[in-house]
Amino acid sequence: MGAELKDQLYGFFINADKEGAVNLLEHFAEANGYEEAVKEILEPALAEFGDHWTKVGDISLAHGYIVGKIAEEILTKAADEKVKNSSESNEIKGKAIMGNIEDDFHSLGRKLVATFLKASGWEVHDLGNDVPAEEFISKALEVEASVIGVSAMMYTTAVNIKKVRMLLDERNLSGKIKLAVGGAIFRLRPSLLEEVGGDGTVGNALQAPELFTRLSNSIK
Amino acid sequence: MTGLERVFASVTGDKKDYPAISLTLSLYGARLTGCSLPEYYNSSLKYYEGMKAVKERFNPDILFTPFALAAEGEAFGSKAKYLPFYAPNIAKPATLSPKELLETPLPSAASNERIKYLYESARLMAKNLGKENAIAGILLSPVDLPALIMGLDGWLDTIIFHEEEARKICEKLTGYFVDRANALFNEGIHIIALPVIFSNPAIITKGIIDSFVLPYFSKAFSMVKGPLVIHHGGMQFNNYLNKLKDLPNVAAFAIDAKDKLKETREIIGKEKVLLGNIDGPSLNRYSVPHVEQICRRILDDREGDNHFIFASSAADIPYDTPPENIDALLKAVRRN
Repeated sequence: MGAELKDQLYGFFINADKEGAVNLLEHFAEANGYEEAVKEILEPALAEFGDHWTKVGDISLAHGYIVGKIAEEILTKAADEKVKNSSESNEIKGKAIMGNIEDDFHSLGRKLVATFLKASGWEVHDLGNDVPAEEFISKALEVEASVIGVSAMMYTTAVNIKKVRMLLDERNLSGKIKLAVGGAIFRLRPSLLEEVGGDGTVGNALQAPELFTRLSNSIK
Repeated sequence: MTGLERVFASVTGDKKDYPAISLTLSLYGARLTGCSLPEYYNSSLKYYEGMKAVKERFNPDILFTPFALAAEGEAFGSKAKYLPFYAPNIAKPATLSPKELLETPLPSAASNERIKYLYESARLMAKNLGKENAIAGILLSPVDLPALIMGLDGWLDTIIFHEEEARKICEKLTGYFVDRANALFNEGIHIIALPVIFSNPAIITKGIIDSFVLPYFSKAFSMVKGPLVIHHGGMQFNNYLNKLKDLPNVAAFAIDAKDKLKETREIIGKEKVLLGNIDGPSLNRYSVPHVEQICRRILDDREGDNHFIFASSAADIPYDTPPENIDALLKAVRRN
C-alpha cells in the first residue's frame, strides 16, 4: 500500500499539485500518524522526485518550490506530533550554516536547500543573502557546525566563495568544517567547484542532505 | 553599409557586406570612459557617453540602452546594490504583497528618477547614435517584471498559489509595459529586447506557461508599435522556443551559447532573425585564438543565413574583458 501511495504522491509532485499531495498525506496521517506518513510515503516520493530532477532534467524551479512547500508543511506537523507524543528531543543529523555569498541576492535555491536539509533532520542556521566570508566562519564556530553551505547564482558572485575557503585554510579549519557550494552557475560550469575550493556540490536541492551528510561523515 | 542598414538587411534577408554584429557592451562603456558604475547607472548623460565610446572604439551594429534590470525594480521601491565592476543587482526586493503591488502607482519618466534615467539614456542614444547604429531598448515583460519587485520566490508563490492576484498584477503591468515600449519607439529606438525568465520550463511548469504566461505575452506584444527580440534570459531556449515563435511583433530570437543555432533556425523558421551565440560573460576568460575559433564555428554554421546576426549571448561582456578579444571577434566576423 505504501508503494502505491508513494507512486500517487510522486504523480502529484510531477503535476505540481500541492493540494492533492497534502490531502493524500493528511489522509494517511489520520490513520497512521505523520511520522509514518513521512517515512512510508513522503521520503520515498522525495527521493524519486530528486532522482527524476537529476536524471531527466524536465523539472522546473516551480516544481521544486511546490514540493518544498509540501515537505515543509507535513514535516512541521510530524515534528509537532513527535514533540506532543514524546519527551525525547528530536535527533539532529548535524548542524549546517547556509547563506548566499557576499554580493549575491538570489535566495530561492538556498531556501529550498534549507527546507530539504531541515526535512531530513539537519539543524540549519540560515544567514540570508550577501553574507561576508567571515560571518560564515564565525557562525559555524559559534554553533559548532560541520558544514557551511554557500550559494551563488552567477559566476561574478560565486568567485567570492574563495574567501570562505581561504579563511577555513588560514585558520586550520578545513579538516573540521566542510564547504558545500551550489547554485545555477555550478551546473553550468562544473570546474567552478574546484576554482572556489568547494568540498562538494549537487545539481538540485533534494540532493543536498545526502551531500551534507557525506561531507559531515568525512570529517576525521 | 551602416550598422543600422546591416541590421535592417538582417530583418529583410537582403545581402550584407558581413553579418550584423550585436555585442552586449552596456557595462563596457563605463570602462572605456572611466566612469564609476554608480554614476554610470544613474546619469543618462554618462551612460550615453559610454555608448558613444563603444561606438567609436568597436562600432557594433547594435547599441543597447542600459542593461540594468535592477533599475526596473528600483522604480517600484526595491533596493539595489551597486558593485565596482558589474551592473547593479537587486539586493532587497520591495517585497510588496500582491495587494500592495496592485495599489502601488505605476512609475513614469515624469515621476520616477530610475525610469527617467532609462528613458533619457534611450532618447540620447536614439537622437545622437541612432542614424548609423540600431538602438536596442531593454524591457521586462509583464510576467517577468514582478520578480524584481516581489522577489523571485514571492512572485513564484503568487503565480503558483494565488492565480487571481497574479492575473490582476499582469493586467496592470501589461499596460505599463506597452506604454514604456511605445514611448521608447516614439523616441526613435529601433528594437526592444526582452529577457524572458518566466516562460522557461526550467523555471515554471509547462501548464502555467500555456495557460498563464503566453496569453499575457500575446496581449502585451500585440499592442507594441515596433519589433521585439526575445532574449533567452541566461538559460537554454530551444526546448520551448516553439511556444514563442509565433507571438505578435516578435522579429528575432537571441539564444543561449549552449543552444544549437541550426536547431533554433529549424524551430523558428527561415525568416525570423536569429542572434547568437558566443558566450558574452566568458569573453574575459578566452584567448584571442579561442575567440577566433568560436567565431569561425558560428560563422560556418550560419553560412548563407541572411537573417542571422552574430551576437554575444547571455549577460554583459565583463568589465575586465581584454579589448583584444573584442577586436578579434569583430575582425573575424567582418572579414567573413
